[in-house]
Amino acid sequence: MKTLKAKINILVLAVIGSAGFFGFMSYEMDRKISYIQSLAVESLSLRDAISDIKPEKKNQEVLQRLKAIKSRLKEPERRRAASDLIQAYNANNRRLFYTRARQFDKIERSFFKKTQIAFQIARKRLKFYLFMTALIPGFLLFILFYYVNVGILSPLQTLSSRMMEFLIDQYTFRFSTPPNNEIGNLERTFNSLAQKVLNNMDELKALDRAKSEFVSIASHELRTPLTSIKGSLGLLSSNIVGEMNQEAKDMVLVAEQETDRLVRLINDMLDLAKIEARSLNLKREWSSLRDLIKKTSQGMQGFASAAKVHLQVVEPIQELEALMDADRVQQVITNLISNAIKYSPEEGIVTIEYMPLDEQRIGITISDQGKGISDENKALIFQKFRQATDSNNHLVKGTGLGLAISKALVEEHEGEIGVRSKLGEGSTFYFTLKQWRVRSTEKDQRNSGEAA
Amino acid sequence: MKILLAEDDPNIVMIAKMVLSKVGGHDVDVAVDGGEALHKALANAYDLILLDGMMPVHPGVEVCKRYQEQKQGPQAPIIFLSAKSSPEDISTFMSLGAGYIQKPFDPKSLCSCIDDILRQAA
Repeated sequence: MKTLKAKINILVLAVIGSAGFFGFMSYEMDRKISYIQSLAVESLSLRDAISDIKPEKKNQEVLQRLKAIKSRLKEPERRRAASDLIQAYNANNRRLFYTRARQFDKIERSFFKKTQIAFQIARKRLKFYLFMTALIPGFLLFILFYYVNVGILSPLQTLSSRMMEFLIDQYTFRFSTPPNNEIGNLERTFNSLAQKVLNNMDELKALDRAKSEFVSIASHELRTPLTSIKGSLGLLSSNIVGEMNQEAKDMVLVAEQETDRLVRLINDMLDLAKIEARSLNLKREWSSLRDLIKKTSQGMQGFASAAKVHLQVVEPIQELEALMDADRVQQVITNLISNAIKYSPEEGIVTIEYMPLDEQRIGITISDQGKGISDENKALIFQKFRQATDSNNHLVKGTGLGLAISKALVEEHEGEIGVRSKLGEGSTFYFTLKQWRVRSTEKDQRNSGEAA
Repeated sequence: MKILLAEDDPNIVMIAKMVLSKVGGHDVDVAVDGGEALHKALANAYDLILLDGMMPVHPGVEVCKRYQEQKQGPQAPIIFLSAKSSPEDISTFMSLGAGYIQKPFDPKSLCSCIDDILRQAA
């Protein structure tokens, strides 16, 4: 009886059973009424038949008829009256016959009255049974309706709305008293599922923290010995500890450059790990793009001059601001300018330009006049540790992580990054930021501290 | 300048001391852990204190805080030397001391780096 299924099954059977039972009783009562009525009618016709009989004309046919009438009578009183009548008919006693006929008639009348009474009783019973046929199943259906609504439909509704909370990452609700039936099972399963999700999320967070900690510790551990290495090489190459011959100096230079490369690699890996673990915590502030690009290109001027490459900046008419982490966007721009310079020919021009693309997005492009990038390479270069050869076909001394980091940073800002290029026609690297606005004068005063 | 160098790694001590004295002509005093660093810093007058981020007894940040609380008389500027690079760490260093030099550092430019930082702080 514990399960809803059992309860509902029993109720349905009870509905059917009770409807059947009372329906059957009604049917039977109706048949009985018909029977009573037929008895009544028969009694009336018997009285008519008897009153027609004239005992003077004795007749075999009449005698047979009388005997047939008697055989149909079940009640002993009526049979006796009939027998007496037949006896009088056979005895040819006219006066006796009429007396017995009157007696028969009297008994039949009393019988008729009894049938009428029985008829009334039977009719009342029929009404009762018909009433029960409607009432009992109806009542049971009501109970069934209650069970289905309260026991099944309402809990299902609750379950469904609580499950929708999962969609907004809410896993805290638990069913405190699940009943001991199928709905209860569902609720208990819900509780277990929610807990499992929470536990998984906790695990993932812990894993994430562990990874960040590991990266932080690892990079620290790697930097410590590198400090001594870089330190000793620096002392050697600066002749502080004495003169070396040219070959020795060359060796030291190689070691120094590779050490620097290792240092950059560690920095990049640390960055990348932080970005991937989403523990980067980007700031989002409105900052001037003009100031940022000016500062960045000025910072790259030294590198550009050394490579005999010219930098130029193309600005839009209005002064624009973007919602971004300025340091990180500077990192992206620096990376793209640095690549452009590396891959430019001597006396080449690297152009930095930015303009609004539509109401939502602003685009920043860095174009160079280098060799261009083939279609296969366009996707490859944004992958980790991938590099192409530079404008002199020398393997570039980078870490191969710059574009991967830039890509991750741009995507953290919900922007897009990519390259337009044809072999032999230079390349234009572009990225978009999702929110921009025109700098207004009141904001000027507020932002004056931010800009520098 | 009279400089206090607090650093537990003997290699780095050797390198830094060599650069600072030979290139910069500075007078370098060494402490190998946070306790010794604090003691010497409070007891003597220095023109500059270089603090390693991670040392036994007290880490650089704690030495700095205690020094700033307890020092009688003029306080020397403090530059942190650390392998840590997260923005949180850097802002901690910057808010406490005059400057920050990331490890690994280039010994050739150590002196000019220090001069730049001190000049900017002044």
